[in-house]
Amino acid sequence: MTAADTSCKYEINAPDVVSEDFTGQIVILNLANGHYFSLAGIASRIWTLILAGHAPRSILISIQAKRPELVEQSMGFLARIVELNLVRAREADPGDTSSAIDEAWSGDGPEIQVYDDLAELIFADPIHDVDEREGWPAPRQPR
Amino acid sequence: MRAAKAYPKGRLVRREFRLARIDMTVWFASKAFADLCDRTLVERKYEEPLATRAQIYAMDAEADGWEPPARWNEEAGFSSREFDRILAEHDRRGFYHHDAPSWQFYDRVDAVGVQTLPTKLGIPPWEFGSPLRLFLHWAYAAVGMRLTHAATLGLNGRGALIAGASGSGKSGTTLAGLLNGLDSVGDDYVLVEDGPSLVAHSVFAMLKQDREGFRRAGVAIAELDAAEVNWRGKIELDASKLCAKGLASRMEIHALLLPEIARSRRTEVEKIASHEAALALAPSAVFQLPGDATEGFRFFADIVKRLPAFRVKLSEDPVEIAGTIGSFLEGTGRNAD
Repeated sequence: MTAADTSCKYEINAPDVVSEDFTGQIVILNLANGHYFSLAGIASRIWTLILAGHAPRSILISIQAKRPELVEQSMGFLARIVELNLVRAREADPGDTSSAIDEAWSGDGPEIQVYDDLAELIFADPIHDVDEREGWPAPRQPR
Repeated sequence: MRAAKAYPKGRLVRREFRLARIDMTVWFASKAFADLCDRTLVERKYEEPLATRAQIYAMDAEADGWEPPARWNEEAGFSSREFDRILAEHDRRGFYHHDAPSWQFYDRVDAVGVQTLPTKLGIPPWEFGSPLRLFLHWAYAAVGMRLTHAATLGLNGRGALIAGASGSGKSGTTLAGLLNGLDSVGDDYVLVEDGPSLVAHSVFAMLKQDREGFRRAGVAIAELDAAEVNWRGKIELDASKLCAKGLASRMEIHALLLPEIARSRRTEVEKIASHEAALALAPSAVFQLPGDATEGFRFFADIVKRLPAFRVKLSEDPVEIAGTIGSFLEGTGRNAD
């Protein structure tokens, strides 16, 4: 896992990635590969602040001030959402989001749960990756 | 599409399907496929304002003068997402089935679709219980409704969507309910309309279950012994063969249920958080049907936010399962609104 660039700002990797907030719990779909995700602990709040235009560095400073023990895990979470192509660096600056992040950061450290059980419905290359007897969408078992 | 429209109508079999909220004219090259649709699609039993119309050409290479479906260049690779994107730029939707090459395209502007198969019944194996499902999906999505990968149970017109991964017990729960006094509008794909109230409509007549599952639920009919299993080892039977009332046409949806095969002594219903319900309903509903994925995710997210959601830990007794869910629909579900 490579570290995320914490100085630049990120945005959701639209149109392939979509997310929804369910009373503070975020669910994310990657429509390009069929993976979907749920965020736990303070991950949902970090995600919301990133989509609102806050740079990861600002978020980490805020976490450092209130919950220093969660900084390392938060850096890992940021690197993970970049690695999973859920966010990308913003091309245009969203404007002034330098206002202080007023966040208690209560709760557990950030976690991302990855689900790939439906990926074969769209991600398997239907020509090469399917079981010849069962056909698409049953993926070929690894040899 | 031009070739299909220009094909001599005298060589085609015409059917008019009056389905939930849609009138669909289908021109079939094959009577066998027309008969399959006759058996499987559910004609509406009530009058509501029509939401849309569509015209479909169901062609196959056994028809005189109709070319076999072109095969995708395998060396070029295939990205279903890119395929969807290019078609969407022209307000079209489509699907390519690689195993036995076939194509389905739908023009949202004209509400005209064409399917071209290699043989009379050369549809993907999972569509025998839900033929024309992609055309219905695209036509409904164009007017803000969704064909939804979920089961249903209801009582006195008051119902619940049942969502979950394959093997979670959706179909078994539906069968237990239907055989023991509850109603259903379907156990696999149903039409969901998100209006002033949330309504599920019946579209496909078949219920599916493995042979042992039917027997455990108490089904003992000749069709069960004679039926062949489908591509997933399931048997598909017309709901009206399983109980005299068959499927209900429509029901208002007031809850979302996530079954779990717990084999507990009694079925237990417990409230869960909305994001758990979203994980069970939205990804499956979006990824099972190609096209309109972003709009689909928003649609299902809205549904989850509207409905109270519950996990149903199932016992092994179909009568007890039906009784518990029936009581829930009458009481707890109403209170949870």
